Amino acid sequence: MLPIVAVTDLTEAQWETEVLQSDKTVLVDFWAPWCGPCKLVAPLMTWAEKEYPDIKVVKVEHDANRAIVEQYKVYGLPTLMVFKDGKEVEGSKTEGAVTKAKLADYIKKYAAAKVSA
Amino acid sequence: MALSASRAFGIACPAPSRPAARRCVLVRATEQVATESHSLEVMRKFSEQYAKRSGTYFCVDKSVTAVVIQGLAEHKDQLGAPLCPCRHYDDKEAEVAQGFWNCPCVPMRERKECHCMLFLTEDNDFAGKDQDISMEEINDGIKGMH
Repeated sequence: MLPIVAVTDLTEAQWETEVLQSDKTVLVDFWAPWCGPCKLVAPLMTWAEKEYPDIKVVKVEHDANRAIVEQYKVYGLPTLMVFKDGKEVEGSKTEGAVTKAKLADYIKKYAAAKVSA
Repeated sequence: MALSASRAFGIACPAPSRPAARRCVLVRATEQVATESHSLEVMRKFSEQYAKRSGTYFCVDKSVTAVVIQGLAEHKDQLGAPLCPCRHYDDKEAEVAQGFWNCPCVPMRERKECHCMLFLTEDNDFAGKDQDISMEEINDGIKGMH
């Protein structure tokens, strides 16, 4: 069974099960439809999911998930965050587009994930 | 809704000259995507003028520029002002009235900081060399997006 990858249109109900209760560390990408840097970052999320099989990657559209966005005080988009054991990894909230190299550093630092063999 | 599209297809099957032969010709009319909403053109022109005035440049990937301009135009149509499309707002109408995030936003005006990557300073890794973007480039950049 293929793992759920880069889940878009995440609902609040899915947030609980897919992120907070996930066994895996979760990389969350908060995005908006007409946000240029969000579009730049989108393929990097697909890349990250393949490159780091130990993490789960999830996308959250901001307007459809206002309660989550407001709970975690997400304002600038895109915002990346890492969740582990149901909690935000301290310091992982980062705003703005990133390059692939910067994303790799970010994942290594906050998700402690290993590259796929 | 700022976008509308029209397409026309036709199939012509001329009467065969020989009973055994029958050819059909698929005629595809040119696809015209009428994205030239007034607000989109206004924001396109504004972006060009402001880039030149501020000495900033569009992203080397012009689809980023196109997407942001479309976002600004949509907010202008929906809210009456081009609210930054790269942010979440608790109350969009209140934000428009307050003005901080109306493009060009305060961080851009004061420090040339545009986190939408619409206006990039020369030293930015993502900055291209253009300060112009055509409507065709915008249409190409936003194609396929909802």
